[in-house]
Amino acid sequence: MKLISNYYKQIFNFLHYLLFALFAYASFSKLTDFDLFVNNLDKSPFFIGLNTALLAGLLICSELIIMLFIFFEKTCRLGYFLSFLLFFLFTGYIFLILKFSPYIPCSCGGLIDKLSWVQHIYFNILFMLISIFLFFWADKLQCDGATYNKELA
Amino acid sequence: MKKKQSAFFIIALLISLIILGLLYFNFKSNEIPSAYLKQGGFNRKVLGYSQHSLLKYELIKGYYNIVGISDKRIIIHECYTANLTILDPNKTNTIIKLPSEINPKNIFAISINPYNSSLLDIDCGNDGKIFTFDINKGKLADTYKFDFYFEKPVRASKDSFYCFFMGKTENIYNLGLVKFDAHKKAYIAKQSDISKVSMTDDGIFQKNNNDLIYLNYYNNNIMVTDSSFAKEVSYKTIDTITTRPKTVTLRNGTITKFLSAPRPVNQLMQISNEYLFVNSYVKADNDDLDINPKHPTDFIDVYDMKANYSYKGTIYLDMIEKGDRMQSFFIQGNKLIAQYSNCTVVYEVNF
Repeated sequence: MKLISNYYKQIFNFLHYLLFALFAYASFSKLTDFDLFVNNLDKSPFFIGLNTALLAGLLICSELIIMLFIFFEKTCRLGYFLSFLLFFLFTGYIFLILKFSPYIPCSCGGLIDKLSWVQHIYFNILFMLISIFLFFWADKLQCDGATYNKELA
Repeated sequence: MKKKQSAFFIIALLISLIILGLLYFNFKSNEIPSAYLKQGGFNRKVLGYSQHSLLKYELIKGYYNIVGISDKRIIIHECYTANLTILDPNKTNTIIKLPSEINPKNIFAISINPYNSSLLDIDCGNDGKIFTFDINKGKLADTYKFDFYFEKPVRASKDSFYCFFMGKTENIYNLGLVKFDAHKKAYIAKQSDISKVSMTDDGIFQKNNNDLIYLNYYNNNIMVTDSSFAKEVSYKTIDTITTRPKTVTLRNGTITKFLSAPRPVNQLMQISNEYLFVNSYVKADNDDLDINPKHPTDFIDVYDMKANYSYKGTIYLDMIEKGDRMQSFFIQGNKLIAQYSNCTVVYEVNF
């Protein structure tokens, strides 16, 4: 029984680190190339007339906050929940682009740039499932904040 | 506890859906209307209607631009792709792929080289290059390199182009003549005082004999200058719109964007013989009433260039498919070629 519990905990921790790494990567890659990110938002037909620089700042801030929430043991559940919501929003946005946009604007920077919009939907659904799994299992298999804090240090 | 969690989840999901709904609403409220702009305040005169259709080429649904006619073959480019389609008079279609050196997403315009009709000038402004592509050999003939940003190049001679490039002021582009050194690298040979504001003054630029003609997308101005830039004369189209789209410049002038989706007034322009042909998006007061009972899709206003660009009349084109508007058109002699999303139609016009 204990073996099974450890096995699940390893999976849980792996997914936890994966989500943390994804948000760290996504936020810092956008920060390092802020202009490109704003320009990409500018090209979207859904952000016409909106202050995309402010929107880009808000998105990066939310990603950083989610990353920090996941990092700390006390807030990690809230982090998973917010992560799920952000992926949900992003998936909805991609759906709007594919369904209604007269053209397909370019996606984002970094490694994820290699993905097409449809692949992005699959990617997002996978991470939505991961976030929801972590959220519901965090009660049973508490994320060991102290352990991964040490590892990161 | 679980009930509380579920309620929290549902509320959060609803908020997300509202955000997505707001994005959709923003998109819809800024979408360019498929109907014509309804400013009115003027009347059109019928120059031709239900034109005799000579040929119709079926195509896969896409977004196409007519490049021109070379040796009786119509050349069209499928936008954002490397595909050039050659339409023969015997109704066969041949697709030629542009070479990999050309990024199809960066192609602004393709035109037939006026000095050699088997060559195409391919404007890739974002790459800082104009490629010359030999359509018979299927390979690049020349590459002209710019180390400054340029817009709307029009061939001035075998080795020079007229184009707009950034002057001393940010967002102001001056018209000038660009020549090339032995390495095909661009240098400014002549700069004029004729300028346009980036984005708000965007338009269509073409050369006709010794005249350079610039038609604004967003208002009713036609600017004409000669090739020495000595004189600049303004004419007006019959449209009544004279406003500029609203833009905002952000972060120390690095980004300029439209505050709302711009509404194009004059979308397409062609020059043939002494006439200027303009596909306008503005509805005249009589378009739906006495003149136009069949509600055609597109109007082409004709201006006589030799008579101070006076309005001669309008060619009315029949609807090909409901809601499908003309994407591009080309005029040579009495042949009018209209491009739609899934076909190319050749008309004969007589006026």
